[in-house]
Amino acid sequence: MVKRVEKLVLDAAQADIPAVSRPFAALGGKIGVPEAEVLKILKAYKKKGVIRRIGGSFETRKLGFSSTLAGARVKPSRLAAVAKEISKFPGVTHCYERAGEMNLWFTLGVRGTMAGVDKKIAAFRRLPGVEKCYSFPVKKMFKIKTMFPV
Amino acid sequence: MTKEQAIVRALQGDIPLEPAPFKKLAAGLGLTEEKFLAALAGLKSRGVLRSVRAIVRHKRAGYSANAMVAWSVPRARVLSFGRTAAALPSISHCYERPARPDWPYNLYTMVHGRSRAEISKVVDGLVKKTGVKNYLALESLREFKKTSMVYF
Repeated sequence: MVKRVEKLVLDAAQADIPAVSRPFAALGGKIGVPEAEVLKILKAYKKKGVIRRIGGSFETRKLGFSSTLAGARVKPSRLAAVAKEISKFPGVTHCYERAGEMNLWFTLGVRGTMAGVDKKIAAFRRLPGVEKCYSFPVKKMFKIKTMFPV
Repeated sequence: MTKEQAIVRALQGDIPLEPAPFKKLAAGLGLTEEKFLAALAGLKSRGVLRSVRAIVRHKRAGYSANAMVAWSVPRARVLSFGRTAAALPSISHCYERPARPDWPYNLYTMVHGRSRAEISKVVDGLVKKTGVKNYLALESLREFKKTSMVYF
């Protein structure tokens, strides 16, 4: 069970940790929780694995990277091996088996233009067991919200 | 590496959980805290840095069900569909993406909920509201990798 004060801290920390000298004091000031307690709660939830990371969230494109979501159809007997191979590439940040005709989905980001992304997708397409692999780069972003009230 | 790249590098992992984390990160780069914070503010105002924040594993935060739902939306209705979907609190991501000849889906939503029933309710609600009936719920079966991007 999440205590009220923990919920306050986790929700606030998911929204924004201010870029000031004492960010946890500033964050706590907004919700009436002392700096030491904010830190204690964040450390505890990090340790539990509820918090994956506390750091910067960047606009990939503005850092000169191009990215895409790719869906592939992979022979079931080769799925795990292909997923492992694809996941080895550092620019692949998410890789999931999903239900349906296209059974492997991953996100891919590379430094430079979309040509680099396409090249990498073409290389993945050649892996044994990959029957198709499509790149679906974003045409329009309607929403990206990464806040999960606990 | 530029100063800005060094700062991105310092922030793409975990910041130290201590009272003055930016001072420590700045020291590691041979910068003063003031310089570091000023550069951070610059990155933020240019939209390079969205925010410094905690990233939660939603499954462990009680959102045990999630589905990527791909929709086939007629071109003329993409905008209204996207806006309707984006307005729903249980939808975290909503993007228009290209369809392919044998893959008619052009709109993707990530739906999160505390149960499968909650997800179905959201999807059914969207179908009713928008009249778009051609969709695929791409349930995740296995996670092979989930990490944050390492830029520099």
